[in-house]
Amino acid sequence: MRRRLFDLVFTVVAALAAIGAVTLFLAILAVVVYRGFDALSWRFLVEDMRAAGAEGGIVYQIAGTFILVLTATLTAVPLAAGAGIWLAMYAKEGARRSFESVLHAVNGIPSIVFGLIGFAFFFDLLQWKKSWLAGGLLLALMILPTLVVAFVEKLRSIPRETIDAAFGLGLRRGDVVRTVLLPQGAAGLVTGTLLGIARAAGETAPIMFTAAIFSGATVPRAVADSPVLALPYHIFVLAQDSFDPAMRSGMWGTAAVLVVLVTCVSALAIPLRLKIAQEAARD
Amino acid sequence: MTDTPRDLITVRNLSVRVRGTGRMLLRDVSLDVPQHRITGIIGPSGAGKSTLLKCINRLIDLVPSIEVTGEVRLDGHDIRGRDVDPDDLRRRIGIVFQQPVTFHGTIRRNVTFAARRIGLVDRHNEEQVLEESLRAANLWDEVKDRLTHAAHTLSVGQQQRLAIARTLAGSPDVLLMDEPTSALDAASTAIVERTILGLRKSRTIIVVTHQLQQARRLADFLACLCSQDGSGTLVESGKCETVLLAPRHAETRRLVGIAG
Repeated sequence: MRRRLFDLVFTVVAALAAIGAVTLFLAILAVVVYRGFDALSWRFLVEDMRAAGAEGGIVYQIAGTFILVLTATLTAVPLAAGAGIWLAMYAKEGARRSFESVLHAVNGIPSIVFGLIGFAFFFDLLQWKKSWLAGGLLLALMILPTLVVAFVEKLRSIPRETIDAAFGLGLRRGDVVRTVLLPQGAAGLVTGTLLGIARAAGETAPIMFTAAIFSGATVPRAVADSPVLALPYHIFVLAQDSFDPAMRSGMWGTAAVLVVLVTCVSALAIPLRLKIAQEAARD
Repeated sequence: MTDTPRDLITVRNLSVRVRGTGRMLLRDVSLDVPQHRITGIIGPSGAGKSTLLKCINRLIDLVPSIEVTGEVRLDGHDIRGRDVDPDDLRRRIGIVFQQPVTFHGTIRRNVTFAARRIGLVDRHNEEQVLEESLRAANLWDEVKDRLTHAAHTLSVGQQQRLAIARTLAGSPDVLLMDEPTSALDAASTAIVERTILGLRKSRTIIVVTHQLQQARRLADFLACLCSQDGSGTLVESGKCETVLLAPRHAETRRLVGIAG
């Protein structure tokens, strides 16, 4: 009787927690979209900004964010895949622990400090000034721990027997990685990438020092001295003038676009994630 | 069939120790494994039966913090010699585990993918190897019409025979089987046992089993491992009927008596 009661209470608490999390997310989404609704229009999405953000649209902010996030993702995913495979298959215990400590340390660095480090390295040392590539690489470094941890956790969930069975067939380590680890660990990498994209898309501090400006940029055509506009930085600047109704409207509109874009990316990836998870579960 | 087949595998003074803790998993094990015979290994849990198998094909090398001393010879050659490639060795000494393992993909892919990677199978002989391996594993008739189906759609018993077929596709000289039927029902166990007996003509087989009756049904020779002071020790080996019916060692007598 007591165990049944415990089960019931536990189930109700877990269900309430899940409902609470979903409700919170939907509430944030609803508030942002509601507040930004007045600004949202087709023209807002496809036009360039005018009157210092009081008029026009955010097309280059969307493009800039896309470029930064894409650069970060394309850089971080192969690095995370390599690091994850190394941790799971090649690293000795001591090296693995050291590397994981470094990863956790990197994950704990405040984003503003990342921005300063990026500024010192890309802006000052490499003389890139503000550059989309600097911002993308910095964001890649920031999201790397998330990707690696998600991937490694997935790899560690592969039964030891499966890996032993592959080695037992005479497969070389590289073959085991290609034929067993990567197909089964891919779901973790996808999950990590989605979390990383969401974080990279919303970060302001790192790109503020290295890649983003408020106006005067379109699509970059070089590496050095090629800044971009970006949605989070746009929100940040407009927020400073949010006493002005036009600015406030643009700010919420931009925030709504950012939230919807990140949600859409996650939603688009759900079928992919499910497919990979189902494939892995079958193995 | 002669009464004294030559020994394909000889194990001498094999000890396995966990570095750091000093714990011995196996202590001073010596064993001869005759060619084209089935050697059964029996013993209680924790006696090091699986560890012994993993030493014979060097899967033990993949376990960190393990130190192996002593000698294992395959056809007279030290398997830990500098000139021995562990991957090639594992191809020659295949292993089938307790829990059936299926890999991603179809039944066809499961059987041939490793042999393709190793270079033993190409598109010219793939069909032949596929059919021969599945036939040898007593699975061909059940799956010949659905080779493109996902391997995970097979029953557990079929998956275990698929694992055997996959191992056979690599043309191993030796087959190590670590409690291959413990996850199977009686009907599947009977088919797998029939498969093992069928392979005896062409392969040297070592079967770890918990079931004395299974050892009696399958094994020509039997080795009994027991745990002494926490370490696996080989207490007795010889012809199966001799070890089962007239065990010399007290541990074997206890094991046989308790079980049977």
